[in-house]
Amino acid sequence: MIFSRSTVLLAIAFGLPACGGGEWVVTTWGEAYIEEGIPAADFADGCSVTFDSFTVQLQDIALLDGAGGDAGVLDGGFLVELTEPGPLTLGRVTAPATLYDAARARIAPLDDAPSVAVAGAITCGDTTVGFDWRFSTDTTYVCEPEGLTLPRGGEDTTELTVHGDHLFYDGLESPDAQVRAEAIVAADGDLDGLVTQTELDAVPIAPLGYTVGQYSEVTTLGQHVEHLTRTLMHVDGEGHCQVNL
Amino acid sequence: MPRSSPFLCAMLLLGCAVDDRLALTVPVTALALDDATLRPAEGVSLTLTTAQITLADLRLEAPAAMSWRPRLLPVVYAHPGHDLAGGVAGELLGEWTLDLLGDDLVLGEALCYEGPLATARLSLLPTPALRLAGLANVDGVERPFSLTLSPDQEITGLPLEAELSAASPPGGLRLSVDLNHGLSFIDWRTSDTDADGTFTEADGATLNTALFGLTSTPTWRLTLE
Repeated sequence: MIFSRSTVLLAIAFGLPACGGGEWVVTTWGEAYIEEGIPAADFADGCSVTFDSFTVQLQDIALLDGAGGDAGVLDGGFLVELTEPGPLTLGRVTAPATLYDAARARIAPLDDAPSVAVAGAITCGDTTVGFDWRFSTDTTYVCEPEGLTLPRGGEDTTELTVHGDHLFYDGLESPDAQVRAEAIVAADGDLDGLVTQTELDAVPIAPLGYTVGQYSEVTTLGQHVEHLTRTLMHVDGEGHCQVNL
Repeated sequence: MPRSSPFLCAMLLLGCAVDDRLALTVPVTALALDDATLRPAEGVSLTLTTAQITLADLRLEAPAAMSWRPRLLPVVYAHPGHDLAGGVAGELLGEWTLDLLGDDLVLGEALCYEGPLATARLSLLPTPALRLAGLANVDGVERPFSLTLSPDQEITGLPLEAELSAASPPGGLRLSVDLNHGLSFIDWRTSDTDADGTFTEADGATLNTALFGLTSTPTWRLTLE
C-alpha cells in the first residue's frame, strides 16, 4: 500500500483530487447460518434449519461515487452457491482512489434461473420437513460500507453478506419480529414431508400472529416468505443496505 | 391537546441552515362511522353498540427514496424490522380516543412542510386500542360479540399522495376507519371455545385475525380536502 488510509483521508479532507486508481474487491458470504445451519437457540419456537443449497443471482454490482454514479462496475452476473465455504470472491475492478460510502448490488432472475433458490430441512420438535423453494423477486440494494477506501495502487474489499435467517422472520416491518418456523412445518398439508410453495400459499397469514406492516397485499405464508427474499442482503457482515420495495 | 413537536420545531429552528421549505398547518378530523351495521364477510352482519379506538401521533411522510448521501432522516434498510418510509414532513402529536358511534372528532392541527406527501403513520395505544361490542348475526344465528385489543404498534404506509403548498393549504385532513375491512379477517363462525356465551378475541385465532385486520393498511384512510 503506497498511501496509508489516513493519508488518503487527509487528501480528501483538503479537497485534493483523487489521482490514480485502486482495486475494489467484491466478495459474498452466507456466514455460518447458511453454511452450517440456523440452530434452535436462534428460533423463538425452538425449530432449526439446515440448507442443502442456497443460491442467489448477483448482478449489477457497482461502486458508487459521491453523486451516485458508477465509479466502478463489476461486469456480469454471478450465480453463487452460498452453502460452499466463503467468503467467495466475485471479482475485482479498478476505480478512482478515494473514500467510498455506497455500493450497489442486485439480486434478480437471470437466464431463466431464479433470483433466490433455497433447499434444506426444518426441524421443529420431532418433526422434520424438507423444502425446495425458488423465487423470482428482483431487488436492488444500495449498501453503506464503512471506511471503504481504495488507495492508489492498493485495494479494499466489500463483502455482500446474505442473511439466511431473514427468510424465517414473522414480521415484515415490526422491530420485534422473531425467527419462527412452526407455521412453515405445519403447512405440509399432504404430510409428505416436503413443504412446497403451493402449500405455503394455501396458509392464510392472519391467524398466525405474523405481521406485515404496510404490505397489506401479503396475506399468505407463501407471499410472506417471498417478500422476505427482498431483505436478505447486508454489507460487510452487519452493515446496512437500503432497498425500495 | 397536541404535545409539542420537538422534531419539527428543531428542524424549523434550523430551517435557514438545512431546509428552506415553508411550514403550514392542516386541521385533522377523525370521522365517525356512517352506519352502526357492518358486513365484514358474506353471511355476517354486525350491529355495533360500542366502537372505540385509541390512537396517538399522526405523522405524514414524504416519498421514500434510496440515497447514497449522508442523511439527517431515517432510511429504509433491507432487513425485517425496517419499514419503507420517507422523511417526516408533518405531524400531529397527541392521544385520542375516538367514539366511532358518536360525532366526528377534531384531533388538532398538524404542523407540516410544504412539498410532496406519500404516506402516513399512526400509533395504536394499548389502553386498549380497540373496544368493539354488539350483536353478530352469522348465517341467521345471533350471538353477542366483544373484542378488546391492546396492541402497542404502529399502522404504517397509509397512502396519502398529495402536494402541500403553503400558498394554498388544504382545508383539512380527514381520517376514517373501514371496519368492514378491518374485521374481514376474523372467522366469525369460530365456535365459542371458552363457552362464555360471547364471541371474543379469546375464541380460536380471533386475537391474531382481529389484530391483523386492525393494523391492515386498507382499514385506515386519510383524505385531504
